[in-house]
Amino acid sequence: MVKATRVTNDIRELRAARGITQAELASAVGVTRQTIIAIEQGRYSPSLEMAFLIARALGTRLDEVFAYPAD
Amino acid sequence: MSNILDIQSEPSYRRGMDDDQRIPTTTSERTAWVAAVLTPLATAGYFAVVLPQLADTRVADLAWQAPMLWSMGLNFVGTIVVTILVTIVAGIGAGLRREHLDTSSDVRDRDIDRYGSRVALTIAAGGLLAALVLAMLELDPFWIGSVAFLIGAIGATAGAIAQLRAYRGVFRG
Repeated sequence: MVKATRVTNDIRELRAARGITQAELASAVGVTRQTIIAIEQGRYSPSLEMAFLIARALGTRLDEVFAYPAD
Repeated sequence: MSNILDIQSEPSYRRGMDDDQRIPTTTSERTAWVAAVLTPLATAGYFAVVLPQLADTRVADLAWQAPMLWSMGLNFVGTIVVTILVTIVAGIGAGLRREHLDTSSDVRDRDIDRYGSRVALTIAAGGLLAALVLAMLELDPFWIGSVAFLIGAIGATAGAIAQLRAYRGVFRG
């Protein structure tokens, strides 16, 4: 069984705070809504470029969206 | 900030969030579902036609080539036709739920597709090796062809299942 990625994110909270739907974020980033759901749930690690695009679409910094917790 | 989505001015309670909607299938995922079902069926159809002949026909006289070609052709055409039908049904379902059916594919779809192909090719390579061994043992072409066909079909099915697991589970690329 593949383990979930250790990269955590606050996309769902940031979207909720801004009133942005998954479909709208997906459209802004250029991916499917399923991909946004997979990233939010930690089932898919986006590329660095996609991570920057998500942060830009949410109007925030990359490190406010994604984190990589220490052991 | 100019790059932020220009929809923040409207409150989210009026706009409605889509978090609780069902997780949509992508076009690539639907194709994988069709392949995972049709490939075993088409392969089983070939063996259902050919194997009973072994009871009263010598292996060298078996008419196995045409059924195999039919199986491959029906699987290929069937995958295209059924995928189109499934997409139409998915579109109707999305319309009834007042959702938009996304028929695009993205980098995750391509990553998962490559992953499934890698699984399929790895198993198919085993089929090629098995066929080579059978050829070295000078077995009848029926056995060589059928073993290569069977392992190729197992590979294609395993590749499609690997894709489906990646779509619904964790995929790290």
